Amino acid sequence: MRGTGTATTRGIGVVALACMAWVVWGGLVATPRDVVQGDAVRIMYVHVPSAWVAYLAFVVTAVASAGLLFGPRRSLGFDRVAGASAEVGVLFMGLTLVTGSLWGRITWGEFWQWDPRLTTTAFLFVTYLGYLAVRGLDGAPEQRARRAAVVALLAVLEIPLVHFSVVLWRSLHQRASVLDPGGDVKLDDLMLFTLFVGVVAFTCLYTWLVLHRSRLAALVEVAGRGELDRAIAARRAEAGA
Amino acid sequence: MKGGLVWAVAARDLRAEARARVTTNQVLPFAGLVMVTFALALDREEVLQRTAGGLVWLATTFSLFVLVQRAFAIETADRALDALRVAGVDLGRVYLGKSIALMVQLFVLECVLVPVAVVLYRVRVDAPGAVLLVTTMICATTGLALVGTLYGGLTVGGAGRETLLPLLVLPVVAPVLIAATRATESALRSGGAAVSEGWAWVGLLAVFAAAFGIAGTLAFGALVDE
Amino acid sequence: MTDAAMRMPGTTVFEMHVFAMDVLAMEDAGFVLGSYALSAVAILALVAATLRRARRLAPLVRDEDKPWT
Repeated sequence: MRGTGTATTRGIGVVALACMAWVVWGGLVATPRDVVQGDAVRIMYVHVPSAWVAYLAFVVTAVASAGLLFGPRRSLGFDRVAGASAEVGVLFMGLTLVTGSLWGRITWGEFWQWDPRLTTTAFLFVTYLGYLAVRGLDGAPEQRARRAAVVALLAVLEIPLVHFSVVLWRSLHQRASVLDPGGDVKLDDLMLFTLFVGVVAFTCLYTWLVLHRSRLAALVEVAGRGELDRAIAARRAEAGA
Repeated sequence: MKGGLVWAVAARDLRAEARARVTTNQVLPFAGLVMVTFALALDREEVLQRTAGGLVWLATTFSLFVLVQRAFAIETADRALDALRVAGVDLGRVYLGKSIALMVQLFVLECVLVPVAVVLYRVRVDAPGAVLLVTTMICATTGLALVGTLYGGLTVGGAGRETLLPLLVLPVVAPVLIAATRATESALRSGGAAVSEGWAWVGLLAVFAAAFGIAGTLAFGALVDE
Repeated sequence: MTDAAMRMPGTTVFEMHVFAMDVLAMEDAGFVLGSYALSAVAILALVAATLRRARRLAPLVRDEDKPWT
């Protein structure tokens, strides 16, 4: 009896764990403190990879949605990947916002700033939540998949518009530059390497999670159908007997 | 006659509204009440004067949710949308027709809300500002109506769907809110902004309306499919 | 960083203790460690939930229906 794991996911999992171990060691201990920020810069090693994965997840959801709608085969597998990617994306987007907020608290003194990147990130997060809510609506599988895919592509249209508007909006106020806790950080080789390893680690984690969750979605669907078949068979047996 | 269906749908929606008078009897008082409630919450006159533009558009956005629910309630009431779909009608045209009707209702609402703001929040409008203001109203309302109709089709009917509408619509109309508020502030001279800056924001509103007009026409069919 | 921390955690309990104190003594330790801890907890929670659900459902589905096997 096979679960959702395969040799591939086990391999990816091992790589992810190894890289994560390096990130924790490197981030918390081995890398130096920043000249300006001190130890606060260590949050960068989880915040930046987290943000990268969140945006990656959004792109994957969009591409999978486009694949479902316009691709040659219209397989529901695209829908499962889109959904899994969004679920994982929400997690990392939330982490990005929280870690970014903590980092900002140390560097700027505030938990939140209304700068374009942060604001757009917050909108992206809420948009994800809306997309997942739409996925939860009832309906036939093909229609639900199509509906969700359209909502995802509308989000691709919406997010740049939102970002552009927010950039224009914030340029009216004094701080026109993008506020980034990591903006002034000088990265030495070890820091850069640790950051890179962090990106690899989080990307492996993301891939692992999306593979498992989309397979899980397939299991849910087949198991659900199986239950339906069994219920029908049971009713038939009752009626026959 | 290509455009016929669009205007037919718009006319039907507006006739239904004229008969039921929901906008005039319920939504207008609601919006007016929202404007008053803002004053209760924000308290200081200087604050109200400075934020008057934003408050008008906030009240409009909240009213949008009510109006969208209403626009699609009449569809489910006599299963008109299903009948149209079964008849093989181009749902993109239905979408545009409903958007036009919604836009008209919203515009009427704003024509009332702006004088209310002038009175309650003590702002003034002069001639160049008025031109900017009306243009802003038209462009912003179009954008709001297009987005509202698009996601309204998705969220009508079925349990637990109505509450989804604000969650989906608000992020999408954020650009409209930003641009319309800045343009209105310019028109009312409340933020210290010049009228010329307001026109730049109107440009953004026009782009937004065009983008969602096209996108909505294409996407509406897939979203209302049941 | 003290010399104790620069070396790999040593064999003695004392060295590991000093090393841990070094990590905790960093500025804003709460926020930094909190970020790492929160990330770990969130990720592990999702991983665990995914595996648990898969473990529950996998017996209900025939292996032929699992295209990844």
